[in-house]
Amino acid sequence: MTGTRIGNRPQKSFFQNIFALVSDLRFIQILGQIIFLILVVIAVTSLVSSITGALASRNLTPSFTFLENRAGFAIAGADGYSPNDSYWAAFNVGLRNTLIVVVGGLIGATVLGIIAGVFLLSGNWLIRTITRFFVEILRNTPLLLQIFAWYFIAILALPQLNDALTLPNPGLVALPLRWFVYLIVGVFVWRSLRNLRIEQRERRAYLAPLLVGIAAAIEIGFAFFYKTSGRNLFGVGLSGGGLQLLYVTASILVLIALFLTTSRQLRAIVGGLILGLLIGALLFFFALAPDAALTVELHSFIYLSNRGLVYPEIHTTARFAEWFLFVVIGVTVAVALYFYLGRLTEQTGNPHPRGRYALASIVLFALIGWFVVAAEPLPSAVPVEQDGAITYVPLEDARNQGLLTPSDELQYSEQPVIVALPERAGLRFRTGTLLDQRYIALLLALVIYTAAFIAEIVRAGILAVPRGQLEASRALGLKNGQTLYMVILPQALRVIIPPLGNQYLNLAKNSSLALAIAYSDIYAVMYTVINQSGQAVTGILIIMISYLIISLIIAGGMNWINGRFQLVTR
Amino acid sequence: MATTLDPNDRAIVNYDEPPVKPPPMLAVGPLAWVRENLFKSTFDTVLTIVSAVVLVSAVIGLLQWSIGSANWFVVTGNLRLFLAGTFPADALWRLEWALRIAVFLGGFTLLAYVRVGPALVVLIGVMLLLLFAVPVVTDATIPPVTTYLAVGSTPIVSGTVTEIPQDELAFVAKAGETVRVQIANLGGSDDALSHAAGFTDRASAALINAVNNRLQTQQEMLNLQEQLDHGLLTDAQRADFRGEVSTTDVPPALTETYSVNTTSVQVTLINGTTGETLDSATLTADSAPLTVTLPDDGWYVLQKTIDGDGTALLETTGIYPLHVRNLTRDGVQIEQYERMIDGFNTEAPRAAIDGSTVPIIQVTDNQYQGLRSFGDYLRMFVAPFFRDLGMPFLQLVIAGVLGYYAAFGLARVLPAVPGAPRNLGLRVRGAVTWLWLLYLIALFLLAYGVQGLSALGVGLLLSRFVWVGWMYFTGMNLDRVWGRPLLGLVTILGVAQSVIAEGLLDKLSRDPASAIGAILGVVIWLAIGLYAARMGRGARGGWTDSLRLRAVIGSAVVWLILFIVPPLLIQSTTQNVLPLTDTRRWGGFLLTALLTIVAILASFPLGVLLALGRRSSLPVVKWTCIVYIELVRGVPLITVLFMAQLLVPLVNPSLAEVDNVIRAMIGLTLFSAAYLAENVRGGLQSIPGGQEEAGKALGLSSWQVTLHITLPQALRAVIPALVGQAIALFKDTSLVSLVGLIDLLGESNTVIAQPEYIGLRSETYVFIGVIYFVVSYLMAWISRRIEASGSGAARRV
Repeated sequence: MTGTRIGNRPQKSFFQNIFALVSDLRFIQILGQIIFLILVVIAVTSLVSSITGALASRNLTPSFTFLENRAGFAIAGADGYSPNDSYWAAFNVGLRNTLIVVVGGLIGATVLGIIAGVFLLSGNWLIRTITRFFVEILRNTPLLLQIFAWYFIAILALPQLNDALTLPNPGLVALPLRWFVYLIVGVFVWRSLRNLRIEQRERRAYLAPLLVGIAAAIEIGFAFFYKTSGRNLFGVGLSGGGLQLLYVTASILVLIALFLTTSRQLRAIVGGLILGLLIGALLFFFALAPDAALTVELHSFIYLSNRGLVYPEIHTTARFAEWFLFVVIGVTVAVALYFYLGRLTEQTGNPHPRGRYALASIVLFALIGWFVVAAEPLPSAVPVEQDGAITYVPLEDARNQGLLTPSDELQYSEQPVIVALPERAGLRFRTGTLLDQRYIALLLALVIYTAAFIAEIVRAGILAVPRGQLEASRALGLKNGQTLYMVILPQALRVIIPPLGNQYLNLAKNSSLALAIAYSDIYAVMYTVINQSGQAVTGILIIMISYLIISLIIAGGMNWINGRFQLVTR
Repeated sequence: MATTLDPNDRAIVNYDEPPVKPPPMLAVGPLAWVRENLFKSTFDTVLTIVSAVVLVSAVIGLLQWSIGSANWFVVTGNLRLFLAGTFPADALWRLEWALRIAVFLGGFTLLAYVRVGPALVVLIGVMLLLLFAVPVVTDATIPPVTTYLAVGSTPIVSGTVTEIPQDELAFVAKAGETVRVQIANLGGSDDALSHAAGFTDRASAALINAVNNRLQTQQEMLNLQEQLDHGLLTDAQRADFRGEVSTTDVPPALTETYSVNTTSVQVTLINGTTGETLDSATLTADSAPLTVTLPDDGWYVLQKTIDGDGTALLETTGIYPLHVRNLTRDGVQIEQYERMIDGFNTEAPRAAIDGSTVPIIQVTDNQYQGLRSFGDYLRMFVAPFFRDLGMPFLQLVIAGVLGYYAAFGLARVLPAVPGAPRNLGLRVRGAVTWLWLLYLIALFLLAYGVQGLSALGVGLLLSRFVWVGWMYFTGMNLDRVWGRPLLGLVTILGVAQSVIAEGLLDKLSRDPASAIGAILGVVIWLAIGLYAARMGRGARGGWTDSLRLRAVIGSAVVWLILFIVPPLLIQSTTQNVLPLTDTRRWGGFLLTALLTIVAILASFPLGVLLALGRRSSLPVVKWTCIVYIELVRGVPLITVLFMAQLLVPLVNPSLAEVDNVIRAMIGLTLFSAAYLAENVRGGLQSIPGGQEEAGKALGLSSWQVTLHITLPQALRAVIPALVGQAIALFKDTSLVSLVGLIDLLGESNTVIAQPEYIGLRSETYVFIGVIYFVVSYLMAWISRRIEASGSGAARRV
């Protein structure tokens, strides 16, 4: 019963004081923390000292100076790096490779993930189920397995370089003129039907099936009964039995779809279709359907082989700066227009398609700029080095005789931008930029794997928006696109962004699996460096710091975006 | 104003119900569903059509590949490697039992959490039926796979390969099998020959290849000519194609060049072991086949010679390619010949004639030629695979059913849960978590082994655990007249058992100093038993009298059995039952599973501590935890694993002997703990602050508040996240294959490196992908069930 002695403060003995101090919670906490800190410090220092000791006994004192030493190993596909460069240069190559994978991966995964997420919520059962199936498979198998599968099964099974897949197939392509007729008639009918009232439209329900029937009959005639038809469809290389099968399947499916979609005018539709098929068949039979074709020569601009993907080189010439000035002006005008029209809409309430106007101004300025720049005169004669002496030769002659060096070509080009199509020379490409096959495999695997997770996040985010919001926006008369853009997305993004940031971090860290297929990213390069130099501790430290910095940048960026999208509350 | 209503004055309304029309065909029923879900708008229709075309072509392609050309022998022949790596064969029984116990517990859990509907029963029944019926039906209805053998003395040239048909061929067969030899009836034309589908020896493979090459060249030239005649070509292409057509010449029909199947063939079947001739015949294109039923298991030789110069193609059944393995057993090199088609093998020396060994069809120099038919697919892969799986699956089903009924029986004897007296599952739910935890530890011990555990020791150890339970039930009966004497008796028995188990008397008599550990053991076990008795006295609440009595008697019987039977059953009681296994021989799914389980279990306490530390009010602890968590979460797993492999021996030279597997486990644990800490922290943050304040107001210390109030609720809230993390970890263990361990993924890469399976990546990856998928999906499914069953939510009382 110590409580009874309040007010009569007793004299405590020394031991009582000590005891009071020791039993004070604050004291215990501070003491505990000090002991904890000491323990942590001892553990860390003993760890470090034992490691450095072990390394020192092998003459490997950890230091960063070894980065100056000659690397001595080659890195495939690294421009501007040779084995004679230092370890530091090798590390930079690795860092660059990691960064291009991460940046490409982030963009690709976001786009694909959003598409897949929307598919997961699609009203179309087939699309939804297929997407769900793929998402589940991708999420439930290891990424490493997927990387192996992409690299060894998909990419390395592509054809050799000398019969690489090309897009489009080079050569002549016949585009039948009747297709243009279909297109024009189709657009015309669609536009004229669109402006009609609904009952008028119902009265013309036979029209679309009739036209489809005519076209289908003519195409079937050309595919099955016309022997010398063009070989290449759009240069994709569909031909023979596959094409015919496609026609039959497509016409059957179109029939089913027509039957199911607008059933109220079933008679009109079936009647129109049968009539159309008859008319089309007669047109074909009496050779009234034109078989004339527009012949176009196509050049391949993409080559895909097991050595990677080659796409055209794009060079900026000496005139690029001038043209770019026009583009900048165009963009400035576009921005001004965008904001001005936006303000106008707010003030007057009249809608203005500001996005369209802005885009049009950019395109307009770019086109005008292009013509102006291309119209500038070229020098009549250019200095050319011939047999060690510099002589002046007329430009045309120099170009025809192949005297111009690549830099001269850029100097004396009319166009501000030159696109050089890939050109094969034996087992390599003379022009064209090569995307390494390992890069493609890694990027594909990372993008598709991460996209599966992002799809789930997007789906959850959109589902988190209350259904009432959707219904309210419909009631206000907003169109589908407007509903998505103005109502659903801003609210869904609040839910989506934090987990999305986590996925981005995962993608960045997962890029280290590049080692498995020998793509030289930071980790793979430093792995070689460590094996060569023996500087394990420093090497691992560099790897960890690099990834930590990348993670920090991504996390910081996502936090900033997150802050912008959060609800502003008082 | 009250007026009376005249009944006759009422207005008569003639109201006829309008006839009920059936709803339009497209408004209800399956057609309406199709219209609503597939063809709602134009865009929808286009989407459906495109995706249907893509889906159908993809499925057809996949089926064609799987049935027609995939070589699934890489899976069926290496099943053991995929599942357990090179785990010693004499210890495989432990893994089998581990699996059976797991399924037993699965059945137990099923009762506790899930209502077993007829769907599951039907599913398992259908699977069993398929596993047992398909092999039988296949054997009865589908003819055996054909093997084509070439005869003759003309060298057959195919590209750069030249093969001379062999006159003799050795093969292995079982007693009672039938060998059939006849002239192949597709030697008529090249076209017919190119459609041959079956196993081939080298010469016939060369012939078929040459025929295929010729037909392909012919087709290419026809295509080019067609292009030149009708196609739209640039001048350069035209010149190119012309040049190609003029420089390529299509060889004449090979059936004529080699005059295939024009003369008769002499065949003789010889018993390879004894050398006696079983049967012989002269075969012509339309003669009856030579059919021989073989007398016993072993080697046979087929001799085949042709009359004249031509070449003949024999169509045989019962002769299959062999797969030669070089084994070392007890220091002696042995050659094992395994039949590719069903794994039948022999170690008898290869048949020899006139002192020289007869050639065989080897898997390495031969593959199945042509597009496989569905019948051959069933014969080659499905039936043998199902035959292998049938019995183990049946055992597992029995184990699962036993587990289900064990839980059922237990639930019947256990007291009902207040509020839900009819729910049997609820009664055993408490036991499930503990059983699984115990199981995971037991699994690790079964796989790793225990040092110095004799049969006697197993019995003693198990019976001690049962003794603790016995003490618990005895404690329940303490209020009866015989309660206290019984407690005394049981205690004495337990002490006696402990004394024997620890070998206390022996040790005391030899060296009293060494007996301290043993005495400590006895005391600890005694303390545990007494504590259990005390707990039992407190828990006798909802138990009826007879139930309590039955529990005591039941545990006594089990105790006696465990104490007495193992030493009686196993003669050499001192031999170690679970010798340590070499972790370097762990591999395949076993390694993947063990890495996951160990990392999850070990990271759990660490992760919880880190989470608590991160929320601590003590700045030093808090910041240490934050630094650790964020550092680990910021770097890729592969660096952590690499560090564990590389730095562990540097920390202390004595650690250099630590196995790679253990190092990987440490790395995975440290990595997983950081993520687990964040999950648990999320759970802790979701607990309202009032809970903690209420606990404090009741006078609980902060440790008590954490342990009894906040942490249990937090953990329950984050079960889905924890399962998600377990799935992620399960997938992430595949990274250990990059640091030199052979897990499921690493095993697949070693399998593909074997010469006879080289290049079969697709098949292997599909198989292990399916394993990964099934396990991950199962975990996710369980997590969803737990969420749905409400165990994750705070428990309402």
